[in-house]
Amino acid sequence: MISRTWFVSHWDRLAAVISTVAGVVVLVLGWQGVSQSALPAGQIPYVISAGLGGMFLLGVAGTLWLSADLRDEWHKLDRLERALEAAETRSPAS
Amino acid sequence: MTPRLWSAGTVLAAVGLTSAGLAVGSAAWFAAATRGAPEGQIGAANLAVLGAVLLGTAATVWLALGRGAVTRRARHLSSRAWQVCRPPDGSLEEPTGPLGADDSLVAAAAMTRYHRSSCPLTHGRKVRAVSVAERAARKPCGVCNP
Repeated sequence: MISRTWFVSHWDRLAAVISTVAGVVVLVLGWQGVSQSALPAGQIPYVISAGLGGMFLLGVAGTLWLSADLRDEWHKLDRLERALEAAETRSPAS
Repeated sequence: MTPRLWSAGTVLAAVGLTSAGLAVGSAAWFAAATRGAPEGQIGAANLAVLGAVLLGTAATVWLALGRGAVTRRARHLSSRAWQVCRPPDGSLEEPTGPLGADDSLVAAAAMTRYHRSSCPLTHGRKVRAVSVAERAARKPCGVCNP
């Protein structure tokens, strides 16, 4: 079962999933708006707001997910550095 | 003090570029929505593309600088780990990265950098394997990262 701690420590992955869903919803709404407007002048605002907005949300999702991966690697390096400092204390380099 | 993955400058740059992109995109939408003819909306659409470029730049800068920081720190820690873990009799050379079976370190006489033998910058060049001392006098290639 996913705990509250998981949500706190993986807030960026959660935000990425939410952003992906929001992006898809915005794109579908934009498509619906465009399909119901007969004139190009009524369609272009949908393309700009929902089309580019949906792509923006999907981009945010990808960036957040990759940032979370980078943060995980950084925390792993933190642990390695602490272990290394302990090893250096035990056997200082000549 | 524990180093940070993203510096304050990087955070500011990413936030600034994202804000600018959102502002430009919103202005483009407003301009397009208040004009009645497609001819008047083309400029707004171009403005929206500019906003998208700004947002894409923000994401690229954010991820590229983060990846660079992780790579630099991993290399630094790897070198420190070698200082702690190397055999006292000096029987092993310091590892310089994951080399393939046929991926030796090479350089030509006039080269200021050494490369993996598979590096595209060595193709067509008269290169030979280099010793530790020869490597010490050169910098590692920035393309193949030996």
